Amino acid sequence: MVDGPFPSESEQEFSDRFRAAFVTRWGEERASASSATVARFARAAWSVGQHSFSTDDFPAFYLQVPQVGPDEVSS
Amino acid sequence: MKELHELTALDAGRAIVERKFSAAEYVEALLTRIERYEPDLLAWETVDSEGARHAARVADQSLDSPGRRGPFVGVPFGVKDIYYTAGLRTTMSSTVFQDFVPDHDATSIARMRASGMVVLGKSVSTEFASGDPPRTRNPWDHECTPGGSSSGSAVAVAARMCPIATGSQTAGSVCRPAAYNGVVGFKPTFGRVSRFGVYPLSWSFDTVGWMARSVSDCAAMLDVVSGIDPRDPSTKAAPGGSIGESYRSAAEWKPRIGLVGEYFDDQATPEVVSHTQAVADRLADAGAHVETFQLPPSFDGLHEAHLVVHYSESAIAHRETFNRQPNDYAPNIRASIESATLLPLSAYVNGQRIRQVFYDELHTGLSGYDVIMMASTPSPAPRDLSSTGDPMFQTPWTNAGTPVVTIPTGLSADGLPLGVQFVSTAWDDAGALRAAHWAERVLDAEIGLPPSLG
Repeated sequence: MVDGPFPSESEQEFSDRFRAAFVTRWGEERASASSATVARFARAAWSVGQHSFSTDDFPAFYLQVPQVGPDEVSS
Repeated sequence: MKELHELTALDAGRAIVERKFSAAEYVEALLTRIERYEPDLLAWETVDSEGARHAARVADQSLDSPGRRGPFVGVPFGVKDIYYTAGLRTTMSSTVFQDFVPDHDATSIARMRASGMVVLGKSVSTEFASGDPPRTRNPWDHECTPGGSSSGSAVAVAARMCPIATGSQTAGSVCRPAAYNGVVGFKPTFGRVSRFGVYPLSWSFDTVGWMARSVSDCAAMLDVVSGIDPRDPSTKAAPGGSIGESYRSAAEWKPRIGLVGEYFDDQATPEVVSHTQAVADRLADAGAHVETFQLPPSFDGLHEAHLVVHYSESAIAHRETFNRQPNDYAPNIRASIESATLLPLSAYVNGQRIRQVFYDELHTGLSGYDVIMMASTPSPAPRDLSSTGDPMFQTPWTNAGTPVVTIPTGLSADGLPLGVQFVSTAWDDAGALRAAHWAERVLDAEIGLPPSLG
């Protein structure tokens, strides 16, 4: 599994990292045979990663996460 | 009377109960049809001639007993070959499962059999209901894709080999092949029909659906198969209960239709755009209130979200078999699974959130309409056998889990079927069916047989 995309990481940078991970996992031969699909998945993951959401969209989700600061954690 | 293979499922069921002909005679007529055209169309993985003959005899004998009967007693149907059928080979149209024979039926198949219906055979799917092209041929033009993934079911209904057949939709796999082959396709609300025993591709998208030659057939089938199934936790009780006759509109009823342009007009061929507008004009002339529907802002990004969520889930669903037999997978699904194993978890979560926001915004927008309407596909069936066409016109509604009905509305300049689809709010399946049924009558939408089939 690839991390990210990281903030400020460009689509090309993420796509390069995604392809490199593909080569590590499945090999260069598979990466070459599947290059269009690999690129399409990288683009989609990068694009989806650019969306930000309002807490108003998922109020229950955010309400269920206690806002705990460092002091409370250490105590 | 029409020739038997020309009957719709409801007409055939009614005639069998009225003893105008027997289920056994009907099965023989359809088997003859299959024998004649199957070598050309390749719509079936398995034709269960003997099983169908036996089930038809049982259906005929059942008519001697009193009691309530469903509308499809003795009516044969095709089963997409990703549905488990007890004692009948179920291959997922993959070499991985070439010899697999389930010991039980999918819930929907069990319910259809229990209503007296007859399994005619297993229709060709694309491999694992994904995107690799099938061997099945489009009866309107062999050089054009039949669509997928429910390829064999759509072709079998179009070729009058059976009056109704099951499909499944994870992106556009019911309504796209239905449109390419000129038949009616229906994908109900997500959660209305059990997926138990249907080989999974993506648990948050997979939806059971079917194809027929009338909206009425699709509506009646919903009551046969829908309902809670403890073995599929996604199923819920439908608000308002069964469909019954509620999809039939009163004489004075006219639908409020939101016509969706924007993205759909941008992606469609000029011929499809003008055809869809002409259909909208005819519906308006018949009394429908038609106005432009604005897609919500969250529509942007929806297709990417679908790709990420769909294949993240597919990679998990296929993990065991894929790790064991990767070389037995077809190229497209193999590359997709390999790529999906690398997708970030954050992309999956964001994809699901995009879906939720789209669902909420879509339903807010739909509140002023009975249905929204758009072209069923960006073009007629593409002249490209290396793909099954693009599901982009179905994906939004599969994302939202809403019901959608596609009906044939005419032929292109090249003589290929064109269609429009109707979408209503989740659980208002009757609403989508009602508008489609009304439009079917107004448009007199029957486009006839493909010319190559007598």
